[in-house]
Amino acid sequence: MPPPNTPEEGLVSAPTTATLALRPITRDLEVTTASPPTAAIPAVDLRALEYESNVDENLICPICRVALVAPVITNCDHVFCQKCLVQAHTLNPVCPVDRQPLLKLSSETRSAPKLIANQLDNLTVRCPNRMRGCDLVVARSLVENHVSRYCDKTLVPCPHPSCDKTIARKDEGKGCLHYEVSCEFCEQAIQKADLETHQDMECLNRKKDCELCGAEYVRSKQEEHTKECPEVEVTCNFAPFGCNHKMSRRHLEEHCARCDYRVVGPVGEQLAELRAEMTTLKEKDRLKDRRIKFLENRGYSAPAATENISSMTSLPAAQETAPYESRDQYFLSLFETMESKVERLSSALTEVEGRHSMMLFNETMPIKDQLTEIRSTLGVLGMHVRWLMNFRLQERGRVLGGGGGASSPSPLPSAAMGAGQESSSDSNLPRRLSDNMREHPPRL
Amino acid sequence: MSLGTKRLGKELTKVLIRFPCEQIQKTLPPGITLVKADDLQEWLLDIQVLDQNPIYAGETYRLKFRFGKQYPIGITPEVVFTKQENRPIPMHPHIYSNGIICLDLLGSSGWSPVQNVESVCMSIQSMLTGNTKNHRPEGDADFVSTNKARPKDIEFYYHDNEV
Repeated sequence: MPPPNTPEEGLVSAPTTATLALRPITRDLEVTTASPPTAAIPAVDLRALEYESNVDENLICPICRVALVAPVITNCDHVFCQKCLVQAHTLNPVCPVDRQPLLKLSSETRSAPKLIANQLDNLTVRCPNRMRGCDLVVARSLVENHVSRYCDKTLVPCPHPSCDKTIARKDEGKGCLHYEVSCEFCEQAIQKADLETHQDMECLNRKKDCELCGAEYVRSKQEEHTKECPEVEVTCNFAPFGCNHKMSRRHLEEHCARCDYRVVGPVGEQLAELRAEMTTLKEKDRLKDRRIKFLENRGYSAPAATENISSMTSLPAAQETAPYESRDQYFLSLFETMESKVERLSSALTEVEGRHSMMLFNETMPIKDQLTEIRSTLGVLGMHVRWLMNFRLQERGRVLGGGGGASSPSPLPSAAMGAGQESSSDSNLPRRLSDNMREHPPRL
Repeated sequence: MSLGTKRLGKELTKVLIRFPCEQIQKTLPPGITLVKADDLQEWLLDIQVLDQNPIYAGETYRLKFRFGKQYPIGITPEVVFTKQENRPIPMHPHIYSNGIICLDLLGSSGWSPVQNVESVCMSIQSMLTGNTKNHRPEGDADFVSTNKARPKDIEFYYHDNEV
C-alpha cells in the first residue's frame, strides 16, 4: 500500500477512516463556509507535512497541534482546522477553548480571515517525497501541485495494465519495472524499480575503495568518481598541441604550469578558433554560391510572369554574363528557360481559351433569352389570329343561321348541342375559346 | 495514522526531539518531568509541588496517562496517580487512595481537545498547590474497595470549587 502522503492513488485507496466517517459533515460545513472544495480531499495530507522552520504558535491549531489546515473561526474568535472543529463538535457542541456553546457549526463559524490563510499558504514545507529523494522546499500552497504534477518521485500506478503496483513518476516511461533482478554487487534479488535506491543507499557491498586514491565511493557512481579521482592518469591540457606527457590528475596543474607547450597553448587556441571561423565562412560561401546559381537559372520566370516581352529580350544578356561551369550546363539552363517559356505560353493559352469560351457563353445567353421571348410572342400572336378567325367564323355562321330561319333549330343533334351551348352563353364565348387555346398553345 | 498518534507525536516532538534530553526541563514547566513515553498509548510523568505547601513538600508524585486512539478528540485520556516506591499518592480531598482523580477536566464533559499533557499536569499541580486539607475524600475506603469502573466512566459530582 502506498504511504499516506502519496497523491492520487494514496488518496483514493487509503483515506484515513476518520476522513471517511467525517465526509458528510464536512460537506455540510463547506457549503456554508464556502471553503474550496479541494480542501475536503487533499491530494497531500497537509497535516503530515514537515515544515521547514518552526511555525508561529498563532498559526497552530489548538486541537491537532499542527499548522492550521482550512482554518475556520468561531463567533468567539477561536481558530481551528475545519476538520478538527467538526470532529470535536460532534462530541461536545462547545468551543473547545472557552466552552461557549456552539449549537450549529454552520451559523456560528465562518472561514478564517484571508490574512490567516495567506500566512498559512506562505509557510514553507518539505516535499512529502523527501524519503524518496526529493529535496524541494516549497510554499505550502504549492506543494500539492508539485506532488501531483511535477515531482519525479511521486508514486504513480505502474504503466503496465496488469500490474497493480506503483512506481516513481520518473520511471513511468520505462515500462513495468516490477520484476526481480539480482544486484550485481551483493547478489540479492531486488525489484528492478528499487535497484537504484538499493545500490545507492542499502546494498552492503555498495561502497568501494578506489584502487588509486583510496577514497570510498558508491559503486554505481564509478564513472563520476573516475572523472574526479586525483590519481587517475590524464593527458596534458596541451596535448592537442603536441605534449605527450601523461600524469595523475593531482599533478596536472603542476605540469601545466611548466609544460613546454604552454607558450604554444594560447596561440594554438587562437589558431583553432580562426580555423573554426574559416570553416564556417567557407560553408557560408558555398551556400551563397549555390543560391546565386539557383537564382540565375530560375530568375526570369518570376518577372516574366508580369512583363513578358521585356524580360524575354533581356534573357540572352543575363545568360552571357552567367558563370556557367561547362557548355552542357549552359545548354541545360537554356533548355530549362525554354521549357519554362513553353509552360508559360501554354498557361497563357489555356487562359485565353477560357476567356473565349466565357465570352461566347456570355453572348449566347442573351440571344437564347431573346429567342424564347420571340417564341412566346409568336405563340400569343397565333392565338390572337385563331381567336379572330373563330370569331369571324361564328359571326359568319350566325349571319347564315339567322338567314336560314329561326323557327327550325339546327338539323344535326350534335351540332344542336354545340350551337345551343354557344347561343345560351353568348357573352362568355370568346373568353372560353381563348382559355382553350391557352391549354394547347400552338407549337411553332 | 490516526489523529491521536499524530497529535501525540507532535507533543512528544515538542518535548523530546526538537530539544535534546538535557533541555527537556526547559520546555516543560518547572516541577514536571517526563519519565517514560515509549509509545503513544501510555506516558508517565513526575510532578512536584514547588511552593512550600506543608502537605506536599519534598514529595514527587507519578502520573500515568493513557491515551485513546482518537486523542485529543473523543475519549478523554485516563489520568491517574500511580503508587510506587518514593512515589506516594498525594493527600487531597479529591484524590482517592487508589490514584483516581476527581477533576472536571478529566471527565468526558470537562475535557476539551485543546488540552494537552502539559496543561493537564499543570492543572493537577495547581490543584495540589491550592489545597490546605490533608485528608482523603469522603467514603474513600468504600469507593476504593468497590470501584471496578475505569476513571473516565465514573460519574463524579463536581461540587467543590474551593480546591
